[in-house]
Amino acid sequence: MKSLWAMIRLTLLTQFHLSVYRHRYLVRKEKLWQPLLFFLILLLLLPVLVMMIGGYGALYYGLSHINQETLLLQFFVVAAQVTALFFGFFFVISNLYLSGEIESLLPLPVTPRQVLIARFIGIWISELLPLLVMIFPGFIVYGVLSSAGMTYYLGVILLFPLLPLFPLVLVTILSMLIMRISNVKKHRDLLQAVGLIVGVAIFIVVQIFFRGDWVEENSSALEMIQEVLISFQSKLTTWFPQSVWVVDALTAPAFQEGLLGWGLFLGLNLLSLWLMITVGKSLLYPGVVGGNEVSSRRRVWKSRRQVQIGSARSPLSALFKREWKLYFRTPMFFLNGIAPIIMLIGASGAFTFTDNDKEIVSFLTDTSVTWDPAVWIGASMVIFLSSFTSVSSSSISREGKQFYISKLIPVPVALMIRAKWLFSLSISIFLIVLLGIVFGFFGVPLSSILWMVLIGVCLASICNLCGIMLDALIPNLKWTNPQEAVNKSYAGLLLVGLVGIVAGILAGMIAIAYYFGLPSLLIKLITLLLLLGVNWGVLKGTEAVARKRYEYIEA
Amino acid sequence: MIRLQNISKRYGNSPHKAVDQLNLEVASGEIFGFLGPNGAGKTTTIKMITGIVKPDEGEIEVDGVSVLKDPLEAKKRIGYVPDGAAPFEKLTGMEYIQFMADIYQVPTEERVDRLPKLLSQFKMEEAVGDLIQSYSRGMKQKITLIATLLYQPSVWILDEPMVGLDPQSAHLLKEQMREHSDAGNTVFFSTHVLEVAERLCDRLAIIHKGRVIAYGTLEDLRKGKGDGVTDEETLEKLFLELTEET
Ligand SMILES: Nc1ncnc2c1ncn2[C@@H]1O[C@H](COP(=O)(O)OP(=O)(O)OP(=O)(O)O)[C@@H](O)[C@H]1O
Ligand SMILES: [Mg+2]
Repeated sequence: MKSLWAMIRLTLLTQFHLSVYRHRYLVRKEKLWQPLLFFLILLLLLPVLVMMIGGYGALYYGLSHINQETLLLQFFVVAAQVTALFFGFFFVISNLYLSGEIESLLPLPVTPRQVLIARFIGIWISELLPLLVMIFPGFIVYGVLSSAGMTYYLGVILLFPLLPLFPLVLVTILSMLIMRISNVKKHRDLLQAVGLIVGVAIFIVVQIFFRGDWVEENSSALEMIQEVLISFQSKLTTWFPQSVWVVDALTAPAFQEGLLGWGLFLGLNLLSLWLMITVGKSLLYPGVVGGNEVSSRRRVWKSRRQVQIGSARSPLSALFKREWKLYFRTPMFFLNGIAPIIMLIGASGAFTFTDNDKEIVSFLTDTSVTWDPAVWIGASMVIFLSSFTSVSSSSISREGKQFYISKLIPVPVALMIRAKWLFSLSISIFLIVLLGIVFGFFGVPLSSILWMVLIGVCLASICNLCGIMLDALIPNLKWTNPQEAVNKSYAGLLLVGLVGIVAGILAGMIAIAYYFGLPSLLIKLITLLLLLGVNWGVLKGTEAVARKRYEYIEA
Repeated sequence: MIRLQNISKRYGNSPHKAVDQLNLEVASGEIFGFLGPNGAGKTTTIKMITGIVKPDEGEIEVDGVSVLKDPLEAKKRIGYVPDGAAPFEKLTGMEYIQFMADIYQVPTEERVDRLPKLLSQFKMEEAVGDLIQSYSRGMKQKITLIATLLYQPSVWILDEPMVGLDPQSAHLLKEQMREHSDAGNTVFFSTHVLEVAERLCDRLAIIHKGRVIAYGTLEDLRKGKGDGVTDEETLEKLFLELTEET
């Protein structure tokens, strides 16, 4: 038991860098601006939170009209579980295997069971934190609006932390199986592909649930919504029985369904935990051993390669290629960066592949007077998605210990920044094209899609430059686990906040322009020109900031 | 040629300077050894010369070009092999060499001319197509050595280059260093292997707690110690005496 506690402590200390922070802020009293910055970021995110709470409230009132308030609770439970399932998969596989941290534990006299429990607790807490920000307020909103009693809040406090447990157990078992199998055959490269495919499969399964026969017949809009909601609820109930149990546990009288709900929910979770630990004992280590092996061909260096040496390239293209290779050859970068986003877009495309949903689309098409909103929604989705990938906001941090090479080489800082900018822009363009295709499925006309792409590229470019600038200001080069470079950065958080504000201002300006009845073509044209100008300015600004910062950043 | 004038560096708000008012001058065509106990400030000094760390004060010149005022021009002349060389793990050896050659704008003919020879000398022909991640410590060292030698820097700076090399490669490296300096270039390296320093260096400096405590040819160092020192005294003994804590 003692070594289990030591393992848990170690995991929490390393995963959340508690020792580093304590030493830095409390002992050496250095970089005290960082905690300050953190609070600033929280403040920036506050308006988003307020909007979210408002949205939850509105949903509550909407549902209370048709006496379906508990659907809101059910929705929260499902949202928490789906989030944990979906993002958890990449997180678990990176954290458990790809980080290589477990390898350093192999020589220690600890059992796989202890390692697994400690790691799982770390994963669970990390997944719980975002849910605490996004979903937990929802439960409070529900409690306040339905004037629930003490037992409700008590129940929420007890049950909330358990929400992501079951999905995380599922993905943990799944990851251990994948790693075990892929390791037997020593095909490490294959693993990455398999991992992605399984991730996609999980999402498609979730997706199937959203498809199907929501709408029986195309009557009035209100009736349609009501039907959609009712079929939504029945689907939630069949696919996520846990959500019903939680709702019962929270809202039904204790000695009727309430107790049953508690029993079923807790029982299932405990059972799943037990199962995971039992299989994990024998599955975990065999998957870890040799986790960092890469296939080594040791081919004799032939004359064919001689031709390759011959071709000298410009420094810019060399830098760009380096960005590209380092990103896509580090699974943790793209698994935690663009992979979830690509799947998100892909899955929303899958949404359109059912006949019944087509009716919703055609319903939308009939009522739409203009497709302009699609252009603006698309463009704003682009910048949010590309800031969520953190490709730009981690572009300097990703260099990590190798940052010394960037200081060493005789290349102007501006050129290195340009390579990073081109790289993140190429990723953004890929996302934009993907989004454009999805929009096409939804029946958005080509001209609107083209406008969306044009404006989206300009916006994404600005947003990428801002990400690079923020990363130059507060880089995180001290990581040991590549996941930290893309996931745990102030720059990434700040960028999302900043993008939110910029998008808000822009939306306001455009709304005013429409209000005054300016022709839509003119608005789009002016926006485009304006954005191009801003791009130029931000590029110059970013280069200047980076030039100054590169002198001082030390890896 | 390398010239350091009164350079100092303090990390964060540490009470001690890692490098303290250091002065050094290394001429072209010589091999200069940089010795000192662990934590003496060797790596810090080297990082300042190569532009990785900015000195708090002082002036650094490489071939007469100021590293602080004209970093790009200065960096073009420098080849740096860090201690525990850690090039990009996710590139293959060849891709890394190519990257460096592109950055230092090595013309095609020179690449075709030098690379096959270097690869065969360091016995890296087979491994060069693999990811650096799969290399052993010594192989990583060799790939960085090859990458720097490819562009023939006029100032070659190596931080503990012998660590991790097998006897053949260490011997080869010593030959390369000699060849490079004979061609009129500067070779500056830090080491803990005193026999290497003794036999290879034209001149050397011993630093301790960020300050130069001895500087010159091995002969000079012996003389500097005054009476009790015989001609046979090894560098090891000198080193131990000079860096002894009082
Ligand atoms: N990144 C850093 N942050 C803080 N202090 C550092 C850092 N790097 C080095 N130091 C300190 O600077 C001093 C000199 O270190 P340096 O690495 O230059 O020594 P060295 O002579 O290369 O030693 P070794 O022979 O062990 O390689 C040491 O006291 C060390 O603790
Ligand atoms: Mg050192």
